[in-house]
Amino acid sequence: MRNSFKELEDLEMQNVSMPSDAIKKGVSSDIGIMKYVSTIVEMYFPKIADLFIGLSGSEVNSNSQKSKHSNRYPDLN
Amino acid sequence: MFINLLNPVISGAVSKSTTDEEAIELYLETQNSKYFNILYDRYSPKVFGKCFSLLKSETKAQDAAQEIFVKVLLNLSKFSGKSKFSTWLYSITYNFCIDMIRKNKKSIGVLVDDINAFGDEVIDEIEDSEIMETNVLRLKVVLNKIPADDKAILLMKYQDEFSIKDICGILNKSESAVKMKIKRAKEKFVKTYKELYKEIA
Repeated sequence: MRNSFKELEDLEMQNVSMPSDAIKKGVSSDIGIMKYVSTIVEMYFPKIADLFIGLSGSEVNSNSQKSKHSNRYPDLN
Repeated sequence: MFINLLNPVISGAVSKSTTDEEAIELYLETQNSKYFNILYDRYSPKVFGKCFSLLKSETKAQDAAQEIFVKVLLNLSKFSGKSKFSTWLYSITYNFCIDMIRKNKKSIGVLVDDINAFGDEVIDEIEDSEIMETNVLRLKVVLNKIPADDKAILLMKYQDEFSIKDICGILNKSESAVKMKIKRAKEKFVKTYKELYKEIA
């Protein structure tokens, strides 16, 4: 059986030029932006969370900070 | 800083005989863009063609194709493999385009027009050959006249040759609802054809 729908698909694909490079670049750009944003969020979200914890009056559990302080301000006793 | 995901130099080294499923598996394992490139190069012309056919604008089709492939890339891990990759891809394509058309159109007006134009006329069951063997140029004109939903379902059935089960998955409807939609779409096609060309399709 003849299928005019498939013939139409072939005809339309011949008549329209697909801007393949533009679409590829667009996809690459969109994904790149999403990855960048998610990297930023991953890097800074813990620090933002610590900030809010600190502002609420609770202590941030950070052993590295305590050791730094002990080096900077030695025990004079 | 941005990862160049779609580097055409890398894609040349991969075998063109790689199946869709192999390409997906390799991409998910390695996150190497050359495997996604296989799928992009294989299907992007048809995806773009379908978008253009439904949206009737090269600019809109380009934007739609871009968003569709971003969506596919982000959701590739969720592709279960129960259907063919092409079926899944085209389902995203059709749903995206239909949603775009619905957002752009004044949908209430369109529905009222549909009811007025196609009333309660009873039409005998239309043979597939009556639709499929229509002159190509007339087919294009008639498809552009009928509502986008009906055009989309006829394209799914006759152009993509999806099974009823595939179409149920794409439209998220029951088998009986899909069969009724196809029947209605065929009726609208024939009625529109007769109005335009004043003869039997």
